[in-house]
Amino acid sequence: MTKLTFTLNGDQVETWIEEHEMLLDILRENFNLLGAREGCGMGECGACTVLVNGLNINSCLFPALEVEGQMVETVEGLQNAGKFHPLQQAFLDNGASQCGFCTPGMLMSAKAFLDEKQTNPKTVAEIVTEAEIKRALAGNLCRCTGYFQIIDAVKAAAKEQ
Amino acid sequence: MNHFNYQRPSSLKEAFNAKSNFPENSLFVAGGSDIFLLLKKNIIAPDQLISLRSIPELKGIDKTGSRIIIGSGTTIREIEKSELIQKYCPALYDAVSNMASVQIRNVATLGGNIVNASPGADTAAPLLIYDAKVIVINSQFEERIVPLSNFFKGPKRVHLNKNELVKGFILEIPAIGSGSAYLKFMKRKAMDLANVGVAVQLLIEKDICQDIKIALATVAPTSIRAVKTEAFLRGKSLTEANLIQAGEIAATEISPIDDFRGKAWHKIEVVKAYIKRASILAKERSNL
Repeated sequence: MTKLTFTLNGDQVETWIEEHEMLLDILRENFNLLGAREGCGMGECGACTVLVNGLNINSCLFPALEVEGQMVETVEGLQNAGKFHPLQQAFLDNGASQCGFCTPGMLMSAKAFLDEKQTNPKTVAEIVTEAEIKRALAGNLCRCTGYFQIIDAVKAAAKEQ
Repeated sequence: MNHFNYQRPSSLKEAFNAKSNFPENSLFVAGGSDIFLLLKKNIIAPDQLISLRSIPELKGIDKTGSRIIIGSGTTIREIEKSELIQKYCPALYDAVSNMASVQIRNVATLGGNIVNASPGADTAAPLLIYDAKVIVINSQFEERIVPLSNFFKGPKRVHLNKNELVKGFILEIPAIGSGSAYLKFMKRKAMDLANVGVAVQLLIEKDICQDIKIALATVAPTSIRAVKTEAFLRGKSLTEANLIQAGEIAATEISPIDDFRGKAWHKIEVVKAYIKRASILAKERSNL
């Protein structure tokens, strides 16, 4: 076993892991964070999406040891003081979730997309287009909603920010 | 999945040392978007993986004179976001901005895409039209520079010894006034591998094609330059008749196979159409 220390949803955490474990496994098993899920386990569906240093990645293909000293954000960290993140509220308002399996991954990819838009002075003034949202969410599959509600939700959240 | 030991060296020296500890069954891994799939499917079972993610010598995109140097550990997403690449190597931008998903692009690297040597690797054809050379370094810190066209050995195979790794790539910036483009034919609009990929770089003066480079993906055991097609178009005007003829010549230079993504006859037809389209797009982008 190897000791792993990193920042998880803003808190400094420490845990013991096996070297071959993926980030998804330890988030679920060591921290009981069950938002990120294994859908395909192959980087196709995006249900396991979390952020590492602000970038969205497939945690099913990301060795846990790589987050040593890094900053990890999961869907459980989106709420702030019991209040929904604007993306969560927009998903709720727009009916962007049905069975909910893909929703945590969708939210985290959308967050990475909107955060990057906000921090880049070149793009901050631009309107978020539907084409951009589709490209940003291309790695997140949803089998219920038909995507329209999800795209509407991200558009709505972009206006909030 | 096999239980492997995972090393995270922070320098090339440490990486080679780690490799020498388990020379038989240890693998260098960059982004891992291919390797972890093979591991999960039990196609490979290494005792040790040596991560190249934390090695600064392998990262970055720089311009020196008329060349762009890209570190092998630079992620596909970093290349996509690079203003240097958008400005000087638009065909590479076309390829990386349309690869897999953002999640995969955030981890996958240029070195990984090339060393994995899929015949349909999206970055290979664009690199070929920028005359890319591979910088290979060995455990003695000796470097050798190999043209990318000589680096591929066959599907999933490259000329790389066990004590070597790819440090980076040297791309030649096309002459001023040139245009380039990469077109990828996919069954889906996103998240798909290339059914056919065509990269074109050309320089047109007084309506005559002074220089042209064409590279094709997924239609031969490795990505290839279509040298006969290039020779035919050089010195000619890009008329419809010439481009149709170029497509016919390209069809003789390739050896596509029937596979999961498409039939050989269809790939040939796509190559013909895409040589035309990519050449026209490259021409539209030239002199900008």
